[in-house]
Amino acid sequence: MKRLKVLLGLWMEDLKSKLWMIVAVWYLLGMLCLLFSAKMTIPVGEVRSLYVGPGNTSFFAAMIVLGILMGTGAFRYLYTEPQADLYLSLPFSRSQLFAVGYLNNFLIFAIPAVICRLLFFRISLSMGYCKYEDSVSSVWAGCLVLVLGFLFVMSLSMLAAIWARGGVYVGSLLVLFVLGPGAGLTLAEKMLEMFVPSFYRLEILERLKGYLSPVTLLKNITGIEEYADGAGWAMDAHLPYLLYLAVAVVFLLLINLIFFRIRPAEPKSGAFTFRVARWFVRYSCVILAVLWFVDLLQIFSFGVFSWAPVIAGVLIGTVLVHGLVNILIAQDAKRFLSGKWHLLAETVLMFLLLIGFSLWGKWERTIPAKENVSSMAVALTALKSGDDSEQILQNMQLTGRQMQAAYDWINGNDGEKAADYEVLVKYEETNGKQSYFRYDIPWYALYGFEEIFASWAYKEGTYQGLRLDSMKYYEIRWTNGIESYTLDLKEQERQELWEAYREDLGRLSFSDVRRQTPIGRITFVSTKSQGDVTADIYPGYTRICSLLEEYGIAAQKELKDYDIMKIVVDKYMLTEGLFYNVNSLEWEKTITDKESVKTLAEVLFCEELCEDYQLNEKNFQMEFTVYYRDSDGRTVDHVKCRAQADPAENEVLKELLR
Amino acid sequence: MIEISNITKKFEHFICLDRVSMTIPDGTIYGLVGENGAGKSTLLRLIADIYRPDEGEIRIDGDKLPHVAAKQKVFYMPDSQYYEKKATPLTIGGFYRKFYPEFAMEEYRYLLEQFGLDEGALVETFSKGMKKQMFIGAAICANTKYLLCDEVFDGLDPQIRITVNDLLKNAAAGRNMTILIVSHYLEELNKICSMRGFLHRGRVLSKEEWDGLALEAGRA
Repeated sequence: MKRLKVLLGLWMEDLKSKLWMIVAVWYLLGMLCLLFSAKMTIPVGEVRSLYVGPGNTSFFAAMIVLGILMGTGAFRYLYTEPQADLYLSLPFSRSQLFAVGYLNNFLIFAIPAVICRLLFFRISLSMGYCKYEDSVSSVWAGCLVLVLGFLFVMSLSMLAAIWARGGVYVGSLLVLFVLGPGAGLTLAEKMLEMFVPSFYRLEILERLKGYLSPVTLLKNITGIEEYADGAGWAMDAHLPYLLYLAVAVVFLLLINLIFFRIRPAEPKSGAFTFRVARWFVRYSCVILAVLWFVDLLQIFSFGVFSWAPVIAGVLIGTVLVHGLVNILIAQDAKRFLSGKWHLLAETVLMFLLLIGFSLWGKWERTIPAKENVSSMAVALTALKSGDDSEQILQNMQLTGRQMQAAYDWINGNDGEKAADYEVLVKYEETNGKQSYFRYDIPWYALYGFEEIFASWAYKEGTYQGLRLDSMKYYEIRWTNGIESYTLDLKEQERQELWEAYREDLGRLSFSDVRRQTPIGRITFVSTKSQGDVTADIYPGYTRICSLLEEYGIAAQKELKDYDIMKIVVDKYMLTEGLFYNVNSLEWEKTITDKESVKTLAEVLFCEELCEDYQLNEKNFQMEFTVYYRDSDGRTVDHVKCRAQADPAENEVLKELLR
Repeated sequence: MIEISNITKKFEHFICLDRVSMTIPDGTIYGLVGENGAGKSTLLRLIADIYRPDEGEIRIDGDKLPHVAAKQKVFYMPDSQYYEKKATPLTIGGFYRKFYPEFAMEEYRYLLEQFGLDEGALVETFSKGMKKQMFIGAAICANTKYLLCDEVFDGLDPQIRITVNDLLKNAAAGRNMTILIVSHYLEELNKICSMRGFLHRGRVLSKEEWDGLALEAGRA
């Protein structure tokens, strides 16, 4: 009983010394509630249910800031001799001192965090932003994620504070903990890219990034990177991350406890308390910095891999980083060349690592045999009007004849000398393995792409507009680059318009994309913050154009149909160097002659609609500013345009190009 | 009884204590003498479990450090004691009372009165000697079996030293307290200590070795 009372005394004393933390947590989280109730933190589009789920960015930011502050400030008495003398001589074991500090930090954060989260929920309910039965599980998930995330950040900060001496070193070590794993995995990708020109991505590296990089892990667990709002947070999708985080928290707790128990209290020179910390910093810094340096030096190999810059990079980089790390660790500039055995070990390690990457790359670059491939996804990066390449590879599934055609096409054209276009390919093998490759193909290979483009599976994977399932929560906006309107349509009319788009896009051929420039664009604007989807309208989209005409939109109206007053032409000159690209104005001309304006307007297209300029070539050295009469001739407006690269028979453009 | 066996403590490349062994019997006032840097304060911090030895072990009544049972019997009073900026003698007493269940608060207040210290005044406004008196009072009133005092006579005027000496003597006799005092004031230690030890460059010397050293120093 007496012992319990004494422990309670320690708990109270520790709590008293952390009064500033208690005030900071209540103030910060309380202010979030207050601002929310005053409707001051609602973003554009009102992502309402986001506020109650784990994806609330305000709570996420507070969790990180408070985790760092409370982790680094948990055992402040270790840093001054009189305080260390007092606290460490008290009749408690180091484990008891640690447990009290850790528990108090947990309570100081967890209690207000849960209360404020519930308060947020209550405010959301009263404002009608969410429904109780829809959101209650994500509210509790939000509390759990918040507390676990806090413990994770706090434990990392605590470890940095136990390992290092002085605020600057604690901060630097924390940066290494938080950003190091992500940077390391990104550099591993860069190394594979260097050794294997066809490398695009590796599933295992992506997965590792999701778990090992603290920043990505926290983003994954809270789901703040997902498009879906907080209410869409599903336990089954996030459970692996949640379990991993829980294990990481327990692991870090034990690591912190072990190091706290053995942390020397005596003053010592140098930045770090333990040899293991010095080694960790030394080898982490050397690996990250030298890999980065080696990657940087590849600029001098002009696109062709060579071992010479790699070897030079390792030899120069290792010595340089070794010296800098020596100075950092010993806090003494004279120690630049000390630790020769470490230098040798670092050099050997770097060579081993690079050889490892080279061998790994060799193993990864084997393209799967056709009979082992169950499905494929192909992304032509020059097709900018489609989705982002990552999305395409995720959503496309070419099978059967289409897959065979794609396999033959890509592997028949790879390795040609001319490399004009980049194609990213995902192979899904029969054994479930996924592999990604980057191919460079010549321009003439695009003629063979027609068959692949024509397939519905390709289009569905490439154009997000085809993957929408209903128009219930979308409104439709139209633009031709000059005018823009939101259509006042009923759900059924919207559905009809979308189906017309699907039909027209189904008929679109790849040669249409290469020959024609879109005459307009419709945007499916989400009313539930699910992200907007754009869809280009090509001149051959007869069904959608006639429907738009029915709704009062002049869908076929092009630039040449406007009352153009003048066209200002800016010719730019591009100067390219090893490290720079400068675009400077060469000359400017203003065309006012009615006849010339009319002729030139025939070959001009609104810049906004020239997304596929690499496939349907435009002249990017010339910028046209077209001034036209607006509002029935009462006002003047202007629009930026581009001309097609081939002037054809257009005399005015020919003259300008001369 | 405090048993120190083959304790070695290194600070980077400097050997502060080199296989030090000694025994402090119960009920004694043990004076440990040594010049600056001899390792006296380090030895006290090792007994108080602030520092950890590189080699060797320390046992307090048979319990090996860092066992809590051993730590509970020890009160460590460093040369410069930490206190909060707004601390008063009364809050400091309250602080120690939380951790030392036998802390005699009334006696502590009585001692403060004897020393002429205002129990509600800010400790920050006290002179070095006044602070020392206050902490000695707290250390004695903590009623632990072992009291470790580092440079206890530093900053005290002769009159106060006599009072402190009496206090420590009474504590040792009346409470059966074992007191380990480290200091380089040999004369003060001679007045109150029932046993003495000599520490020189990290090693324990015999009385003869110590006298020899003192003689050499005198000649020089």
